[in-house]
Amino acid sequence: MRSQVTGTIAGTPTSARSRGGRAAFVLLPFAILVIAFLLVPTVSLIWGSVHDTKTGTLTLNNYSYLSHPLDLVPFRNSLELSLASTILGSLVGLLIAQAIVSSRRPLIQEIATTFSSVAANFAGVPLAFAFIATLGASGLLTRTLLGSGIDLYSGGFKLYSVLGLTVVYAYWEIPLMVLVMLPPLQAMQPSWREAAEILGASRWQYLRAVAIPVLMTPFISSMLLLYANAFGAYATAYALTTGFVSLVPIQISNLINGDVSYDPGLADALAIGLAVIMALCIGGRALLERRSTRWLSR
Amino acid sequence: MSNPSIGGEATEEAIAILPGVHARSKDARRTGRSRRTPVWSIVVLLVAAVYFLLPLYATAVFGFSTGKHFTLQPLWDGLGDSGFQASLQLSLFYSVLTTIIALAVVAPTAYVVELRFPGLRSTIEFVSILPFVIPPIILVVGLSSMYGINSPVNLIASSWAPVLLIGGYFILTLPFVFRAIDNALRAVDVRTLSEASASLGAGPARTFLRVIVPSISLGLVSGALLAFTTAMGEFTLAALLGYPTFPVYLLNINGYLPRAGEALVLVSFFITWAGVIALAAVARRAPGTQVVRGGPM
Repeated sequence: MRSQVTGTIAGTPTSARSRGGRAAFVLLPFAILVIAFLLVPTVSLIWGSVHDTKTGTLTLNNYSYLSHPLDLVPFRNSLELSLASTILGSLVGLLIAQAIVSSRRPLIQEIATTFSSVAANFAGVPLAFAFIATLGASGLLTRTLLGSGIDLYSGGFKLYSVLGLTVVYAYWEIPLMVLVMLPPLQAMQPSWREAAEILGASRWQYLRAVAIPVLMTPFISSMLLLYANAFGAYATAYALTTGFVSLVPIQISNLINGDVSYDPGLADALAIGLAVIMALCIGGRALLERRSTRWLSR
Repeated sequence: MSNPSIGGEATEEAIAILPGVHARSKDARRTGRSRRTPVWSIVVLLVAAVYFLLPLYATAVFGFSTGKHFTLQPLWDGLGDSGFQASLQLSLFYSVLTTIIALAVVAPTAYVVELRFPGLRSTIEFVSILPFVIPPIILVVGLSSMYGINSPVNLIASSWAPVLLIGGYFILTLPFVFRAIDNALRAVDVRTLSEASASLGAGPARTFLRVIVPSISLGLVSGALLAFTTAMGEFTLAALLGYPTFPVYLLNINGYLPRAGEALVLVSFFITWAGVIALAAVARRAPGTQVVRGGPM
């Protein structure tokens, strides 16, 4: 296929070289789209982050947010929100995934899996509205609880706060955890447990020596996925708060769209900061995936 | 149908697999363990069901009542609103075009790389993962500074405006579309099929359309469904670049027709549901099909 036969030797109009040339032509639309809508915007982002928006001179001023505690508030809030929703989502998600596996009912497994897929995909504006109807100031659950003497909102809860957002984010974080942890949980062999029991291991010893080491890698890898998802999420947070919450994605959107706070250079620098966090999560996952294949493939 | 294995190609990156729902208690029977469902698992699943169904129930209560009585009026208000029809049409327009372009560009690319340029494989894989590192909120900053209103190449104000959003959606859907098509391609022997087809006198284009496309059809269908649902629900690029698509409209209608907005949220939930059911049907015939987009939204 890839022999270097020249047109004169082959004597056919479609020599290997010209066919290779035409094959390369097929890659052109892909290359153009990726360059125009991914590469060029990314380069412009990096370029913009190290240049002054007004004068166009080279500067690191856009990154000065890194040394001002007050400017780091969006990052602190985003870190908190992502960490809280990741911990909530991964622990509850793991528990539900194990409950699905333990139920041993194909019907339950099928329904739970399908619903998890729907819930994990149900994010953004629709999810925000569903929660406003539930836990908003005049939401169904808020009013029901008020009727039985529990006043959520005077108790300090607000749907559009970091705590409220954590509850909302959990709505897709939990099912996502369920979906990514089901395969490794189902791959756990009953024979491992029996072997441990025959050797006299207690339930705790089995967990500590077999189950936890085997499941740890996929679990941490899934947590990184949840963390990245929460950190980069914009639509849900914006729809719930109409932009009045200090998170990195919200801050970025205010900087490129706001009339008062318009500062594309700073938006570029914040976006780079966000990209670094995403890259750490995705890169960490890639490293862990390489390690997890040993025991759990069958 | 076997369980998709963890790790390896199928589960790499932010991708969830429809787990082997048929992995029923074969093991339990074999080992003589009890087939009874443990009580704790029922309790956990019931509590989870309440948490997940409550927001939907509250949405229905709010969207299908006038305050006291059940009525479908808010739904008719929403469906009859001219803004709804216009925004839905716009969303359908962008989603259909994104889906067609994504398939038409990615499928030949993945095929040619597999057949002729194996050396480019790692590059293409890397590019297809990049959108996870650069989620919509980052991409939109780059797009708006490059092609936005204040940029030298102002696509938004030109007749090229649709190209900008479709280009952005092409990038956002690339990880799912590439993975779906690439998995399908690797499951068939592309080289042998192509050589057999060529030896029978078919040109490369004919081979691709008549031999390769039919043999990766399930991958194409799942890629199409993922691209379509992603584009239909996308908010960040549309809102910040100024395209009044359905999700953007949904946010606005809450200001003047809140009950209709909630009714339309349920409509959007059932659209998601339909997409997932369709994907699950594909996954049943092609194990390893992803059913969750799994990117930041």
